[in-house]
Amino acid sequence: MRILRPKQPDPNSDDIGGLTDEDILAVREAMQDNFGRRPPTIGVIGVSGTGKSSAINAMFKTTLEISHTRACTKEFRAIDIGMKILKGPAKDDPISLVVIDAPGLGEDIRMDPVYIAKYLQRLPECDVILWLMAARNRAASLDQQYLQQLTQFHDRIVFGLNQIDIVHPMDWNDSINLPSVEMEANIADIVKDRSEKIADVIGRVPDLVPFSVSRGFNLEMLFNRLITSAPEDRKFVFDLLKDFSYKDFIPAEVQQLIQQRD
Amino acid sequence: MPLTEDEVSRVRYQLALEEYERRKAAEQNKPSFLRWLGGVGLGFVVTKILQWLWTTIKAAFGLI
Repeated sequence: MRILRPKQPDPNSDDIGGLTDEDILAVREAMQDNFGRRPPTIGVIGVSGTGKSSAINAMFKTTLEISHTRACTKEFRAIDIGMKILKGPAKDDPISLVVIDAPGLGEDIRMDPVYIAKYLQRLPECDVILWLMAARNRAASLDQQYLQQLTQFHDRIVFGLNQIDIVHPMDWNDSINLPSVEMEANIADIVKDRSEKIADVIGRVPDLVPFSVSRGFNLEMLFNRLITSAPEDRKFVFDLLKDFSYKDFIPAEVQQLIQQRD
Repeated sequence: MPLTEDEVSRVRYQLALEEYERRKAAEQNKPSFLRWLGGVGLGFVVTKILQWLWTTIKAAFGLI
């Protein structure tokens, strides 16, 4: 029996120090076996129209179908997305990411009990759950009701507040790709309000991340919260699949300008 | 139109914030990987011990 003696290998780095080629191969095979049997899994839930599929597409460069007019996700689906590991010793190895993409709650009163039952059935498989809300939707009672029915998953939920680019007065600063000062104040107010409403149900102040898929704003923060909320022994694998940098969304000339000034 | 000082400092703040978040998550990755590796290694060792035990028991009872 061969015993691995890793000298602090870093899965994010191509430099893996003390591991021999044979060790690396063993780690890669173990990753294939382990994550083949139980792939990293994210559940995305929330009220209809909050941009669940778009958020997944933005973070993992996937192509889930989206629509701006109708509820697009009609079925409860576990989507097995074939991806490649993007860094570390297993770089370029294939891996599956499973996204449990659920129909939006609240779109049809007849379907909600069915959806809730399916959530209860499928969410235990998830490493982490992304609960999305839309910034312009002030009514939080639907989210509160559904959260009340999913109490056993509260510790695994990361809350995201999407569509902050259309918060009043909608004067997003395109030149720096950031909300205007007034929008920023309004966003902070909305985050405070929604956080309090969620806290009433889950018994703690949630970590609610305001973000915008269409602007790429705070996606890094949202993604990192997903990583830090995943089970301890599986956090790293999500990071190996991350396919964007926050710098992608800052206009190049602005980045250059900042560098020059620094 | 050139950026104002306020805009520059807001971009700087946002960049610093997101970089902080990235590093914070990255710090958790190494222990996460080692924990996973330890779990896989332990599972391997336990499986081998059980295999050895099963073979020994079978041999003791003359089954093999």
